Amino acid sequence: MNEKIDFRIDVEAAKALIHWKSLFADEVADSASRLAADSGQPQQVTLSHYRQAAQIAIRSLSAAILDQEVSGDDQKAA
Amino acid sequence: MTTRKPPESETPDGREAISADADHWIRQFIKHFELNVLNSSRKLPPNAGVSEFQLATARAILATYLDSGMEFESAVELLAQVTLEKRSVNIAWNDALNQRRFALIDKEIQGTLTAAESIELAGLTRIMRDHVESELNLPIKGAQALHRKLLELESTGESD
Repeated sequence: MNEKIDFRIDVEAAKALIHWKSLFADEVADSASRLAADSGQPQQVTLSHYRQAAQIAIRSLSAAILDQEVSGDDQKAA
Repeated sequence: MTTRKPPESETPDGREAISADADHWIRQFIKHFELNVLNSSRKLPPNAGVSEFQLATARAILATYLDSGMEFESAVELLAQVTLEKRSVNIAWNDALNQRRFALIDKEIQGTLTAAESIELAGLTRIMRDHVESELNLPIKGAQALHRKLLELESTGESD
C-alpha cells in the first residue's frame, strides 16, 4: 500500500486532464444556469440543476475528447 | 411590511450560496493554478520530496495571482496580509502595528531584514494602506456630516 509507484506522466497528458476538468466544470455551470432559467428560477441554481447538468456535460466532454483525438491524428498525418 | 434581505452568501430559503461571479472566479483560478503547479513541477527530479512540491505550489500560487492581473507587489502584500491575519485575530491598524512597521523599515534600511520580516512588512503596509484608504478615515466623512446637517437645516427651513 505504501509502496511508491514509479512512473512518469507526459506533461501533455497532464495538461489535457486539466483542460478536460475545466471544460467539464464550465459546461456544468453553463448548463445548470440554463436549466435554472428554464425552470423559471434563473437566480437560483441548485444541486438538482447541477446533477442534470453534469450528465449533459459528461456527454459533451466525451464528444470534445473524441474531437481533439481526431484533430490530433489529422495534424500528425498532415 | 419589511422583509430581511438575506446576506449574499444565503439564498432566500436559508441555504448557503455563492454568486455566479465567485463560481466563475473559482473555476478560472483553479484551472490557472493547476497549469501553474504543473509548470512549476515539471522540472522537479523524479525523487522530489514534499518540501519541493510545497515550494512549487507556492510559486504556482504567486504565478496564478499574476495571471489574474495583479501586480507583483500587490500579490506579495496580499499573501502577507493573510499571513498576519492567521497570526492575529484582531488585525485593525493600531499604534503597536505602526511602531512595528517603523522598526521593520529601519531594519530594511540597515539591510538586516529577514525574509520572514520582509513578508511581515509587506502585510503591515497593506493593512496600513487599507486603513488609510477606508472611507471612515477619509476627510470626506466630515464633508458628508456637513452635507447631512445642511439638508436637515433646509428641510426644517432654518437655512435662511
